[in-house]
Amino acid sequence: MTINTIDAGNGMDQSKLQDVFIQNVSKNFGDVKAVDRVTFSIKGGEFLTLLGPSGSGKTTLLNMIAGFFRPTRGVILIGERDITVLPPEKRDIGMTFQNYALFPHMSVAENIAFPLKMKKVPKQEITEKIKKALELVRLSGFESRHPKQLSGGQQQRISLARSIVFDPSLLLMDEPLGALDKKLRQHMQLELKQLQRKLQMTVVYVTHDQEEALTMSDRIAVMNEGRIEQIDTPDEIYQHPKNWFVADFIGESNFINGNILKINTDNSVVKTFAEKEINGPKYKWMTAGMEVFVLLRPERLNIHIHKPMDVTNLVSGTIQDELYIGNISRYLINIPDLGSVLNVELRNAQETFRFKSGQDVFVSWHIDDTIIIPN
Amino acid sequence: MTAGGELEARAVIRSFYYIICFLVGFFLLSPILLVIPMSFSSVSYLQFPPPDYSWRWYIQFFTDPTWVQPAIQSLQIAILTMFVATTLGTLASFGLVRGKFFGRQGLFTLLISPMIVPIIIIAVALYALFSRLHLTDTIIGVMIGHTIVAIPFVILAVSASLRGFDENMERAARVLGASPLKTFFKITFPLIRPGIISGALFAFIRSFDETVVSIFLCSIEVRTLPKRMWEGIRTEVSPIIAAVSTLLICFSLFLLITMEVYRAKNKKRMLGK
Repeated sequence: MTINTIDAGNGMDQSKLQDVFIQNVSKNFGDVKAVDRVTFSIKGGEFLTLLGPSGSGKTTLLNMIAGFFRPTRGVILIGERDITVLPPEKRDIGMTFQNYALFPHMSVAENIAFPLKMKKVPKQEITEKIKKALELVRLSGFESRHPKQLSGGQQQRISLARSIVFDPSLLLMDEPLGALDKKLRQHMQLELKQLQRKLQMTVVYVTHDQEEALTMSDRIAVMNEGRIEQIDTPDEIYQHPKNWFVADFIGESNFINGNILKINTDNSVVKTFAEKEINGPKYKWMTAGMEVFVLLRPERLNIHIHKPMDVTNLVSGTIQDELYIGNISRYLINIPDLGSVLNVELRNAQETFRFKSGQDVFVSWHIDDTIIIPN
Repeated sequence: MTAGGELEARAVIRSFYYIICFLVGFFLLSPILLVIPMSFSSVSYLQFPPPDYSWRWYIQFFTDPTWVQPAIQSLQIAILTMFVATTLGTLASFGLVRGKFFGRQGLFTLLISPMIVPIIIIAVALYALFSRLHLTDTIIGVMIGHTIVAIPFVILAVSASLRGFDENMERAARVLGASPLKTFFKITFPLIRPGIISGALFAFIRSFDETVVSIFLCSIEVRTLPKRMWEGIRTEVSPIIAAVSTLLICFSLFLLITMEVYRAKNKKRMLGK
């Protein structure tokens, strides 16, 4: 194994970028299937997030990649190396933890030197690499501090420096920002993302925070009950969720039950249970009569006082409530046509008209903003 | 009530509180406070306050082989007990804290039970067993007896520090390239060392002070210091007992202070001072 020096200017050695393959991996704990036949790959240099509620199997999957758990079935490869049964220390993987897991009896420098010492890197080289790693995480001069003297954010940066200082093939991050407050978390998200791009690190990131996943990831794997529900770019996941779980887990949604009434050449019509027809895009999987969910994102709906012309989807209703959130206002509008209450978000610009409770309004949306998913 | 009256009432309550604290402290320390002056007595019977002071009982202790020999044997046994109890207790703690098996809590209670069960029962049981195995009156036999009563102290100290140990640190070490053995010696051991050391010290003191088991298991070949003191009290009530007690008090105090100094140093080290 060669150990390349991290070069802050030029990023990591390109030739080292390796794809990671997870092939048909399962993990059972007794009768519980924590991870159930999961297959996907991570491209070299890609930032992939495992997103899901607690108990969805994302941490178990991460622990199998790290080597703490052995898969019940399946294979894990880094490039052409089969690491399925390798012990963690032979995998060439870096990892950060939610509680940082810094060694409290060692100084910052000793913490960062730890993986280098384990790999028997010569002493002078170690000093140099510590310096560069600290520069990368913007904590130069912190060498002799001890973990307990650092703030949470600083500790996580040291933990990051320790995980990338030996230039691993893959970096695993287990909810690294979970213990930080919101402001710092957002700041660290940005910094982490920039660093990952600069160094072209291959990252598998675990979080249950959908906003974090959408912000940072090249691709997101949404997990539920041990399976991957959808693996796509943040944009695809948000715009085109494949099923109810993904649609519900990511972002706010209005759900309306219905059946497919017609499939035309370039669009489709859904008849809701309340007998209202909704125009939407056409998908390959559609068959007439099929039960579906119509999904409407609150920020894609428009509110009108007067009945607008030339809109494909229009319903009328009464404003029930307004929730003022600052940059946006959220209106709950009772729609008898749909037999439900729609959640609509309007951006609050200076001149924006504010609707009042009890006011009768019309709600419209574009045909492409109708998201249809199979029930 | 006026503000001044309230302050006055508080002052009365506070002085009352100090008086109670002082009385409790005095009650606990009075035997020791009596023993120390008596050990410097110049006469050959126990009298308080002593008519005159001298070093004679200390000189006698260090020159009389019937006292020096038990002191050496007690030290030997205590050191052996410390090593055996600490090793076994530490291994047991790992199993009890990290293991996932049926009856773990029950096993913990069983291993701690020598602290709860009347010591005389353990002593009688050991005597009955060891006399068949020809282990009575041997250093090994006494050491085993002491180990049984010392192990709970080690288990309590080590398992407490293991419970406070974040296992993610071991995972981090492993993934960063350390083998299981290296992880233990570089990460786990240094971090639970304060627990192990305090367990070891308690085991040592427990063995060094142990009387009941020793009375049953010792006779001619092996005689520990507390057993010798016991015999001394029964046959000749002389101030030498007070002298030996004073020495033991100083020795225990020294061990406890050493431990506290080590703890304080360790804390400072973690904070990078």
